[in-house]
Amino acid sequence: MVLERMTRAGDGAVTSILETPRYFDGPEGALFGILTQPSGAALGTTAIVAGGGWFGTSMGRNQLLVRLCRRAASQGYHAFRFDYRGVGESEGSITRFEVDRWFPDDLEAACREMARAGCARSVLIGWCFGARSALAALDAAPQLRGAILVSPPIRRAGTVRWGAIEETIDLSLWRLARNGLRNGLLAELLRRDYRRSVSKAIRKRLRAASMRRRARGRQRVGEGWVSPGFLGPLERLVERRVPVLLIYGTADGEYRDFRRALPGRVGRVLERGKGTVSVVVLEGEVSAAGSLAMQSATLDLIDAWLRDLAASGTGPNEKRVP
Amino acid sequence: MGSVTGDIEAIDGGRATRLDQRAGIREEASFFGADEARIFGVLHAPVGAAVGGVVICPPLYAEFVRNYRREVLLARAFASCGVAVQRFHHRGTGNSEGDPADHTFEAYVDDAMTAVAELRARADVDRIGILGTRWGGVVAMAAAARSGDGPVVLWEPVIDPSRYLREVFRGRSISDLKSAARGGAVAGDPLEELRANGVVDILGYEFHRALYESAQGHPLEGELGSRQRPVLIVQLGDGRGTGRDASALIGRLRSIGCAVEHRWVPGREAWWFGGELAQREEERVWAASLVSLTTAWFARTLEEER
Repeated sequence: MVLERMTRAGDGAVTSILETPRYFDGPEGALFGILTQPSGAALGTTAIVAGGGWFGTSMGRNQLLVRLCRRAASQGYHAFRFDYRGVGESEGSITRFEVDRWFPDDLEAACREMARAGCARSVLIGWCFGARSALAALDAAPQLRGAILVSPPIRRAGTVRWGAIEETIDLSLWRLARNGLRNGLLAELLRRDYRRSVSKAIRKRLRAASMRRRARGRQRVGEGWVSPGFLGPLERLVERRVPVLLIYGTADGEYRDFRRALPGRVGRVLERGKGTVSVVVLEGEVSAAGSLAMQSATLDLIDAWLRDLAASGTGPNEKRVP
Repeated sequence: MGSVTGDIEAIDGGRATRLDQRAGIREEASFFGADEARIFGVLHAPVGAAVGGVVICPPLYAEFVRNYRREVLLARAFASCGVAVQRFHHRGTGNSEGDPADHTFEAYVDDAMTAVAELRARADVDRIGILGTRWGGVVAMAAAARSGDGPVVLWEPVIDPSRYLREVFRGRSISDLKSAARGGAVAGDPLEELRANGVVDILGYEFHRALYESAQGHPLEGELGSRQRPVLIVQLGDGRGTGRDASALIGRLRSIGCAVEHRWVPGREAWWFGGELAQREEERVWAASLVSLTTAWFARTLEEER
């Protein structure tokens, strides 16, 4: 017999919860996950949560994803979080996590496990890398009712993140030279003792400048840098009128890419999704969940959206893009 | 297979099991302990009878995440050598239930004792050792002192909790400085914040006053108890200078008759910083040495006792 338990669902609130661990078949052996049962009447929908990758476990920083699942359960959702292969309690191995070389197989296996256990409808929730995995695993989700994508990277593998380009601009060769002249440091740096390291630094700057020019060229030429792995599934969600919540933080590197992509096809897709796709931008960094305030803000947002979804069958009809 | 709650099948007893025939181990994940706040844990056991047992006390916060996979790999290595291992998450952390705001040093030790009882009941072992990393080292030693004369392994232990807490707070201050340099808001003194609000944000982790205040009076040296036991202390680094605190600890352990082995493993761990967990644990050579050194020491200790 399984008993209901009292525990913190999030932010000090206490509610009854019931969780059961599960091992299930993954692509490289057993994967591990935890199913949270709804604390009240079941909605019949399961929130399947894909974490952020980078060898972090399904718990998230400061139990973020544990709290997410427990809060969803307090609204009547089932919630399932799992460890990717080679991470946490799961078997298998993973050498690298890359934004455009995601492995949806693990999330697909989690979806299959939920379907096998009786899950009729689902909401996919993905964090950063997990958001891209969610987009790649749409077809595996049992009767998809909605998707929450937290800070999904949108660029194609091998392209340069716009944030990195901006940082390079800040450290441009011209700016460095100008500062050097102003402070009279340049003459000092050209002394024999420093010549080798100065020339090395200049070569590095020139390489960065060339990289910047190439990247800018790509941005001007078209939208080749936007991954079809992001655009394609997003378009399908819009066509199917599946409610989507996109969350970014103003300090997320991914958000800078997202903003640059808005005037193009991404913007047009979002325009067509008016009414079902919500974009919410929070002040600060969402992707790393690096502060308690940001964690609370993100969880509150997800809570509210899930509540609306449960109530109306659609997500909140809000679109806010600064 | 199981009862049905809502529309999803729940597993009876809330326990999940997996069998790895190739490695000859069985893993059982479950929640255990008092109903008010259950502890999440995983038992890693040999398929046959176990020759001994180990309870692993995890560190806290970012260190808990850093050490996570290493502890899983250690537990699997132990189990394949015939030693049953109980891993657990402290209440209010990880997958366990409970509110971290209530958790004091004593509560952490209680969790470890509950894990010892769970291992004893589930794996049918008499001889149980306790291993702790960082803050988990203090908890491990305190739990060992209350549960017999079993061996203790300390990985990079926190010897002086007051100093450890200062380092943790300094970490937050460094992060604040970095953020301010990028134009972010200038944050206040974390200790003042803790005193005023009862909780402080340390790099995205909740740090509560209950732990801060209760940890102050519990240096590792004060938790040794009076029993003789084998102790392995492993530190990461090149072995240059053991440090005053570690030397004093070793001296104190020897003075009560403990057989202490102090080893260095040539590795480095950025417990709080270093960006994302950008490298998988299996690729760290030093981590593999740490695991094999520990399992070999424990096997030798059990053998000598027999």
